[in-house]
Amino acid sequence: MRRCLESPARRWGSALRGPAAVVTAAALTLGASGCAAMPGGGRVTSVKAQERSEQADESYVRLIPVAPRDNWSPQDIVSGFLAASASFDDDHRVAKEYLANPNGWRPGPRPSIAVFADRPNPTLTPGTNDDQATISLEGIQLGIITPDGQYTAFQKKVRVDYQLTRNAQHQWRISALPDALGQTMLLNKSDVEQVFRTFNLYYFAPDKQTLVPNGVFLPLVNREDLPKRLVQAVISGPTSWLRGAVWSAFPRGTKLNGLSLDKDVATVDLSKEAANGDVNQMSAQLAWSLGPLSEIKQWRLRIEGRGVVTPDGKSDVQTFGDWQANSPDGITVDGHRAYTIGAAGHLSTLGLNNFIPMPVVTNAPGRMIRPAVSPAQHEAAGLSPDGKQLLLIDDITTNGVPHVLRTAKDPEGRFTPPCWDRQGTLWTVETSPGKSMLWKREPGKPLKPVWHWGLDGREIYALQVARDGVRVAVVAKIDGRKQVQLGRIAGSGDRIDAGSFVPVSSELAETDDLSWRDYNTLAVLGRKTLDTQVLPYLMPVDGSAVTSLGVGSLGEPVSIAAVSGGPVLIGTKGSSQRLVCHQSAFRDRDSEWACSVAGSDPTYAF
Amino acid sequence: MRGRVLVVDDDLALAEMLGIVLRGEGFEPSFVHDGDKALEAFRETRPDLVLLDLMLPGADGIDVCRQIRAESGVPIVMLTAKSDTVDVVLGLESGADDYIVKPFKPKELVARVRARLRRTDEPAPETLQIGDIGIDVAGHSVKRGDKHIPLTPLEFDLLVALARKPRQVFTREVLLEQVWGYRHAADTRLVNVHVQRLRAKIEKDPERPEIVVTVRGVGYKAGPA
Amino acid sequence: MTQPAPAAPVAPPAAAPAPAGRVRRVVWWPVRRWLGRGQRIARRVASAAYARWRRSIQVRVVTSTLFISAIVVAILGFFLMQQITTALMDGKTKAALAQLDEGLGSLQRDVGVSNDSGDRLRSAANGLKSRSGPSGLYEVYVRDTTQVYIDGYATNELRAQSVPQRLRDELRSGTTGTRAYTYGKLSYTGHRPSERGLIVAGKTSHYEVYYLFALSQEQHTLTIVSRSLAGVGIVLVLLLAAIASLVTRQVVIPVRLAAQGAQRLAAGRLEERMRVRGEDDLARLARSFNDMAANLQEKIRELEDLSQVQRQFVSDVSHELRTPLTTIRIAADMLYEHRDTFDDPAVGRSAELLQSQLERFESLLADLLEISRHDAGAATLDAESLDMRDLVLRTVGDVQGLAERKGSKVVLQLPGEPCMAEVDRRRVERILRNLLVNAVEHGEGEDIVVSVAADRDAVAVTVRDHGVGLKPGEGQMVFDRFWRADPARARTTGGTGLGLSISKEDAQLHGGWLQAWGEPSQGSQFRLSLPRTAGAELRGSPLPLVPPGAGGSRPLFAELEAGD
Repeated sequence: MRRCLESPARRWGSALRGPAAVVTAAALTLGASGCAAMPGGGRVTSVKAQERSEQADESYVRLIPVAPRDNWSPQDIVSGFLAASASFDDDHRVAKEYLANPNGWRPGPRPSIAVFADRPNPTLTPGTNDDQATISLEGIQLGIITPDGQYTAFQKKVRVDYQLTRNAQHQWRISALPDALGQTMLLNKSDVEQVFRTFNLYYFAPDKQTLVPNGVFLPLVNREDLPKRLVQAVISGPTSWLRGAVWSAFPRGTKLNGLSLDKDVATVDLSKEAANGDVNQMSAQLAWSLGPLSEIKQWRLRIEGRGVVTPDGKSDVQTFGDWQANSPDGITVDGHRAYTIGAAGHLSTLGLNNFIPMPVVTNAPGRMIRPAVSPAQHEAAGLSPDGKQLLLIDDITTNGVPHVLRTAKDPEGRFTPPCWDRQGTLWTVETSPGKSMLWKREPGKPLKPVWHWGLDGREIYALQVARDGVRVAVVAKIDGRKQVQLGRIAGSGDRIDAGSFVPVSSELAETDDLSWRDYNTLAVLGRKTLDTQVLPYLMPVDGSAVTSLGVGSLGEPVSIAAVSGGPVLIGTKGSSQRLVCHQSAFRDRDSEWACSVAGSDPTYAF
Repeated sequence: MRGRVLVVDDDLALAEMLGIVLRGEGFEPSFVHDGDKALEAFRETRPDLVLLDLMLPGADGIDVCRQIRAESGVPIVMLTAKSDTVDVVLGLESGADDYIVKPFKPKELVARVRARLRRTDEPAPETLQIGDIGIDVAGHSVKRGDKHIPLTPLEFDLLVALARKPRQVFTREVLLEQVWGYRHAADTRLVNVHVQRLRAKIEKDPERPEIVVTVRGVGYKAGPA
Repeated sequence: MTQPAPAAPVAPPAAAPAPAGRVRRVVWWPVRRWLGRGQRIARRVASAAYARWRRSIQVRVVTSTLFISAIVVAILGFFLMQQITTALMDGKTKAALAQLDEGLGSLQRDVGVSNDSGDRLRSAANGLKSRSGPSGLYEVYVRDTTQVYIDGYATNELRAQSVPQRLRDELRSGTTGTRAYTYGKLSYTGHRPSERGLIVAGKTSHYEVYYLFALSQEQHTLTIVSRSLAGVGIVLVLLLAAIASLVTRQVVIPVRLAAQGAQRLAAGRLEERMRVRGEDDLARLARSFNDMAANLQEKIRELEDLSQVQRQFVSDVSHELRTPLTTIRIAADMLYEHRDTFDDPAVGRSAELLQSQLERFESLLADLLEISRHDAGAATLDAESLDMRDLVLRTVGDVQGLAERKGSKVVLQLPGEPCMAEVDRRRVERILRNLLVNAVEHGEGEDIVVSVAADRDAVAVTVRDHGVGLKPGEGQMVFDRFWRADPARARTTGGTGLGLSISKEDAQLHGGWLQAWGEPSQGSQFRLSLPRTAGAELRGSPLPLVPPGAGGSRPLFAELEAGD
């Protein structure tokens, strides 16, 4: 045996056989289980910040309706139907269960909606027998969403009747929907807010270069279908609000064959009609419209019969960045130029780095307030200090003298601060209490009133044409309240139609002045309630919440000027002197106001 | 006819018996019982034929056979107790003309002895030519050109038998009968060994014989193929 | 000299349905062949594998190790997975319940007992959901049990069906503060695939809150774990098999070497030895083996020497006997020739007897010598190409006289063409002579038929007699030395009793067969079969051992092949 132990092979063998094997196994097991424990130390591992992949995937809430129960009364049936209408799942499957003839009602994915303030209470109309009943609803209708997604405020009191019969199972069902509504669905405000989301569709301004956002309401039925719905909406053209004012690159009859998503690359498959369209312009429209969807980072455009098409000078896989040139805000090549009326009353440039006014027009100081400088930065328009005269300096580079373009006719009349659009057209409203008139002066032409002005019965306090040149924001007195309205300019030549004004927000009780911050946001001076101070706010034009801008004392703000990618400038009237205020760090919405520049009426030259 | 026969055998009884038989047949036997003395006795007696036992005390029968053959072409008939091929071939290759296996009948022995002595009885003046070999039958000499080729009588007989009928193929049996005088077919190894020995003497290149040619499966013939 | 009747060129009746079968075979040919080949290959593989399994300890041990360790690893893996799943699910459930508590708290804070619960509930659900952050860990379903027309609010694409009825029932029957959880399938509207999930639920006053956690992350984890486990398991099993293979190899290789050594030893290579390495059991095996081999070699050498001595002795004795025998022979001849001169007739007769018995003694001695030569392996083959017919004719000629004396007629059946074979004339003639003499001796005066035939590889000669024949078992014994069919029978021709024995040895020296068939009173037949080329292996004989027409009953024959 001793000899055996001397042999290494033998020793190994016996170790596996004998009690030593148990020890070995136990040691191995202990070692292995030690490895399995969670780490209690170790080096620091830095983790890269995740891309904002699902950040924009704002979660949403869906109403889950109940199917009609046995023994429900006619009132219950109508109430249940109204509640179930808010559920767009499976093409309103549950709501259809309330109907005697489910196939007779086809709301579709984008129905027209009558928006009620509340869920009205159904009342049983007398004359009901055992098999037939009429239920009437009374309520306040706030407005209507048309199938193209345009919301039109139209407040009125409405009463509608529902006819009910008993079905074979002796249960009440709706046999006839109200005639007054037709296929329109009745939802209350909170239902609409829950189901619908606003999206901007983009169409071309008449210059066919700048895109114009067209806010629409789309039901958010399913997040996955959203890109498809959005593309379909873009293809189907602008809403009635912008129709005639903008232009879509998609040829008539173009349909979406499909939209597939592979990781973050979408393939938009258009029907063959699209072959006649301009690939670049269609791509730009799609790019801007799909931009907010976080799941799509890149996309391809495929047209039936032409395969994947490639825009000029770009790759076939497009990104949002490819189409920045079509921004509704336009492109500013050499930075923004700000102007102000200096302390001595000269029209001055305002350096955006040091905020020191440098006079450019030294003639006739104090003759002009509320200046507006043309995009070419040659002409400057303004008002006389009493606001009754519209003044124009023909060439500020040669120190021109302001001359009167027009004087208000009405004794109480005055002009809104003038504004220039992208083409160099000057716009202003001559207004007096209860009436107004829009004037326009194309470059080198005389001042002329526009053919149609949608707010001719209202007093106007401010008017600013958006940088896309199509939309126009005004502060008008409606129902005794100075509120912001958004309209559009359509037509050309002499037949200019400036109208279709819709309220932008009801959050501010009163608004004094406004300026376009960017294509989706107005910078406004206003107050939340009538008894509070006038403060600057940012007001998105798509109807989302108004947010306050900056903190700190401002004095009494009187005018506001804003630009995309530049600081908001506010002209204030202090106790002793007029000051121009700007945010200490304008990219931070909540940074403090700094009011150190002596001057007034700041403005941006486009 | 009287012939002197030298009997080399260590067995006295057999030697005496052989003596009786040979004398009875008219031969003149003489005896030697020791291999060492065999050559000496041969030189003394000058026998016409030697009967040689293979197993001898002193010098082996094979050695004795070689010694005698080295001096003379006298016919040698071997007596052997071993009929194994190796022994026989060894004996024949050492120079024996014929062999006879013990036990043999006296008549058989006498027939062999006679057969070996017979040639001397019939001289016939005749010359034969095979290839470049000339044979003087009566003069009992074989020449290549002027060069004399020494052959034993048996080898001579063999060559003459073949040369007399050139181009005729002789089977081994026919040769045994004509040259050795066997009535019945016997050991053909006898022929093989002697043809080899003959070739060794008369052929220019024994590996490629031109005078005594083998015909495969049949036997031998004289002359070029 | 008649030709043996060849097989009649008439198709046997069984061949009649052949065409039909052939047609069918043509139709099915590819399929059948394919199937057949597949089956054949499968069978071959299976049988090869089985043979490997049966013959190799290593294969057996490795297979068993593979099998057993696979089972053990599978069981271990199963339990491990079970444990991991339980742990994972426990953790998930705990976290989910904590989340639920928080959600319930906030719901109570947000909603309270407000009347307009619809909107608030909705925003509450949104709030609860948004708290899960960007990773979308869970969906929420909130119900207000007082609401009649609305079942509840679900976040994102979640369908209400995702909440199983059993959980709702559980909550409905429970009091405020009831919490429960279950597992279910989460289904969604649109194209989102349904997935398994954990659903926790809580109840506060008249609200029911369901948190639905998709378990895809856990599923993913479990999949990874199970894959790694499977991978580790497979590697482990293979490793174990490799170890088993290695260990058995260490044991089996020496055993195989020993087996090889033993085989070589058995094949006669007595100097074969195993290499001794180390001092373990295997080294002992090798040493013992070598000892055994050495002993064996020594014994065999001794035996060989002994037998060599013995054979030499027999040979020497035979030779030594010859010289005196020659003398005796000659003397006896003399006496025999002069027997008439003896006065006493008895002496004359004695001389005659002496003469005849001396002949017998002589042939006995010759046979003994031949046998001893075979025994010693000293017999050599002096083969030349000969026509068997010539050999037969010559031998028959030799024996003709004897046959006539016994009243037998020898009938020859020889083929027309030559039957050439490489044989030793002396030995084959001796065989034939022995067979013929044997046939004449036992032929009872009947005809003796000698047939010769040849095929591509072999020639055969049969010698048929119609004598007493052979009893069962005698077919083999005829070739035994000094065996006699009937010991009581008179020895007329005086054979030595060694003839057939020697003949058999001679046949085997050619690589051929010598076989006997016989039946009592039917006579017997001996068949000599020889390969055409000396030393070639003989596979069959051109002539049947049992003569046609004889042996309706069980043929008694012995197939004695060369090398038996």
